[in-house]
Amino acid sequence: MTIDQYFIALEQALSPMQPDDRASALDYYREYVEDAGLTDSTLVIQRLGTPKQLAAHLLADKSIEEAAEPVTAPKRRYQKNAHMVWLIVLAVLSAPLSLPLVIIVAVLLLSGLLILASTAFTAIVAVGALILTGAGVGLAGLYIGISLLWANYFMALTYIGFGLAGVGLALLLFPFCRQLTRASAHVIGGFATFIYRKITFQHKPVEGGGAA
Amino acid sequence: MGATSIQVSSELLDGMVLALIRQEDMYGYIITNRIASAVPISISTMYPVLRRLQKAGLLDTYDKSYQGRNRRYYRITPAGEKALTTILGDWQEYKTSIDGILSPTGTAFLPGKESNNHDD
Repeated sequence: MTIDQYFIALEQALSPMQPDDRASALDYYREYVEDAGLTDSTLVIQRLGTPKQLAAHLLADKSIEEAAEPVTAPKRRYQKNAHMVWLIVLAVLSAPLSLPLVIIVAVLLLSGLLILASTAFTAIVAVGALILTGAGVGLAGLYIGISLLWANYFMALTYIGFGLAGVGLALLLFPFCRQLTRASAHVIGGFATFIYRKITFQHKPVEGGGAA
Repeated sequence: MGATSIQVSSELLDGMVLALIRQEDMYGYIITNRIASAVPISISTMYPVLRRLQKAGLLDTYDKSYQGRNRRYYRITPAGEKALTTILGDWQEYKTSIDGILSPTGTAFLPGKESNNHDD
């Protein structure tokens, strides 16, 4: 791989970025490579990582930054959070981790993230199922109740009562489910950011990094 | 290369970058080298830090041509100076309280020979 090819690959890997953000990142690293006098792409990879690793790092950092910015719509925040967690997982997986200990820590933290995410997911699905059941049973109860109204008045009242309770339960839980989704996205996003900071800040100190 | 067993927080890293650029305007390669010679960070970490500081208005940039190509210099803004003052104050406070435990008599206890010389 030549240095030009390195940067072409980096540009491609950075395609999810805004064009001007991408351009300024590429300018920065091109300048760095020239100033450092790196004439061979193996040296570049040694310093900066492969194009994919560098891009994963930059994309994760960008999305953490964006997640911290105030957002317009709450729905977008949730989606952004999920997207950010994904980018962080990619960055952590692609980071050049040399020390066995760091790898173990990374694996432990990532499994923690997985457990957190699946717990949240289970809780959300459970509440969601409760809502659907409540709504289903409730509507069925109402339907049966109303159709029985002239045949068996008290039976009909019982059914209508159950029906209203079911629909009420669903309506009650619905905002709770939304809150739960949003809160867990927030917590998981925060935890992922923490992992990212822990791992990327310390890997691979510079060799012979004396001031020029 | 500096101590490797203690991690630098991102606030401290921001402060170091601001303090460095406050001395004189610098370009990316120099900033990276100076910071990396003091604390263990990966080289690719510097760009996101610089961009974040720039976006926050603490640094700004200008271009200078060097041997037919461009070099982007970073300089500190008044807002950056203010932020640096805050970070320095926080650091001093933090340092004093940590030192109060680590070396209460004012002289650090160093087991064996500990070399403190840097290569710059």
